[in-house]
Amino acid sequence: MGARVRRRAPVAVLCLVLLVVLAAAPYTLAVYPLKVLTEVLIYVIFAMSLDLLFGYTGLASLGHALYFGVGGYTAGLLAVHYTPSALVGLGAGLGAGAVSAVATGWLAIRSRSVYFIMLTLAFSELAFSVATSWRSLTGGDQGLIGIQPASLPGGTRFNGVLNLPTFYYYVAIVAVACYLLMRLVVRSPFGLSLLGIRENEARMRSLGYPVFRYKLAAYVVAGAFAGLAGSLYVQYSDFVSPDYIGFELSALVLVMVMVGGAGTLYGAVLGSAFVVVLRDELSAAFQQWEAVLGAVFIAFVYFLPSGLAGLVRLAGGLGRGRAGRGGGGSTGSGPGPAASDVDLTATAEANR
Amino acid sequence: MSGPVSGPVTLRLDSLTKRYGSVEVVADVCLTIEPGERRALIGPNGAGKTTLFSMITGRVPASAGRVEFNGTNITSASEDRRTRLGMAQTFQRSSLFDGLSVLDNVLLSAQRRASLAHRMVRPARRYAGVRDRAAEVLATVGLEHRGADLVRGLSHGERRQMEVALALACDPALILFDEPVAGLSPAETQDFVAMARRLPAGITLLFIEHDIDVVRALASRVTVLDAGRLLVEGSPAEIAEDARVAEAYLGRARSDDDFWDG
Repeated sequence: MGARVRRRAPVAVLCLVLLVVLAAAPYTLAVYPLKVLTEVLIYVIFAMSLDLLFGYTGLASLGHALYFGVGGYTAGLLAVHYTPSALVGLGAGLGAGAVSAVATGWLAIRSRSVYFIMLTLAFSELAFSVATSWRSLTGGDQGLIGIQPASLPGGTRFNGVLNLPTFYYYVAIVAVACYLLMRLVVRSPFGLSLLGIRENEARMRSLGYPVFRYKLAAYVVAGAFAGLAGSLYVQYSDFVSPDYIGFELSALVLVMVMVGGAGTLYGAVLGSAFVVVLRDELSAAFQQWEAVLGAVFIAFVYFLPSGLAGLVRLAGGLGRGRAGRGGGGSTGSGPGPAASDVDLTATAEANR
Repeated sequence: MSGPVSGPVTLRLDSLTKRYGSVEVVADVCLTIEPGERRALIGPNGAGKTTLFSMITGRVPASAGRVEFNGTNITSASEDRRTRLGMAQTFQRSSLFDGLSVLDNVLLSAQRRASLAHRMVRPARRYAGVRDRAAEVLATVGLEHRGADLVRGLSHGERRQMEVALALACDPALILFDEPVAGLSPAETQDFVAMARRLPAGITLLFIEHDIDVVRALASRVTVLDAGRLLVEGSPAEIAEDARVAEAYLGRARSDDDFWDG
């Protein structure tokens, strides 16, 4: 028990520090960096939602932006025609993401591996062309215009600059809540079932799991969080266009997850921050920034396939190893009951 | 549904057949297994034993015939539904969750059995009942000290033990073992036999096995399959005496050696 508490303590301290940094950001950051941080937090939600699918369930999707875009259009259309309320937009984005994920996932999940990937791509391309051609509803490729500035709880309005700190806090609270919710999901029996499907789908079936239902549930949860992220992004930018559904965004979020380290939620956090900042820095410096991002991605795949999260684990492992040796004798491989009892929690942390 | 003689038998196969094109891999097999029976299924390579297993567990659909489990017709039921009805299996080539820990592997089986696998809020390891059951099963197969280790790092013998653990955690009425001691050392084989003999008498066992000592030690009855057909059925002693069985194994052993099992 003592070992368990000691091992968790640094993580708890780290989380606390992170929360304080997030809370203090509007006081310490200028307007532009605060906008970037807001954008990063929205991408964090989006990337975590894909990680649920890709990293945890083993379902690689090339069309995850579809649910982001559907959530975005839903929030945008609500703000144009009905209400500027941010929370209504958020809820509607979540619902729209979930409903569209049920409809498309129900078909896509019937196929496997490459066929599944191609179907997710096909569905998002289909939605992209609908968003482009249905001008009366979506404004076509010019994008949806006339989105009213989001009205935040408490009555403040956000229009890009005005009340940015309030909007930032709203996004930060939603992002932290999404992280905690998804963390609950991945540690739950359901989350373990998703890992089982990722590892060995056939065996899950022989253990009595109706695998299709579990995959569809994962798909819908992922779509719901993506829709929520999309609605936040539209409130952030007061704009939505077919690019919010398109392949480029689907690819970008997949890069975020892989660079961060698939199968760890905090990896998705690191990956989104890394990619957004890199994109901003690169696009300011070069025209061909995407080529550089591509090269960085290739480097990650070759040299650090477990992503930034793998780097963090490595650093943590080194620190832990040193501490263990200080305590006298190696504790890692001892088969004795006492040692393995302590290790039980260690692997649990590493795994989740 | 079941015969008029007594209560439902655990497993009843009725003219079960599997055809691939014009080849009958399993032909017209009828078989009845009573509750608590320990039945060995033997036969030369290529006799169709594994295919028969796959039709019982639902991995491979039957071409004709009928499978009845505890009085329920499951001929067209999915594999996962059969498991939920109380069937469990172990695989000849072990099929586990390599990237997960030993404990998580067994939790996956136990939480499904407890109908908790869809829960989304409490951490999986906080369900005390499921956790206790997993610990109990690991102790039964002798892996209680390995809970935290990744399955990827287990030895061949330990992987076989894991196969058994996953099956036991389903709390099955019937377990199908496909060559459970293949590739095990004599000591590990002994351990398996001892473990299997300790299993509750209520669990029905059906196992494919080539090791004749294991068959003698475990089986109450033996069914011999040859070229997809049921050759003979009897007590281990009767089967050992049977001339047709000896012929099936020895007479054509040379030509059959080239074939993969079922």
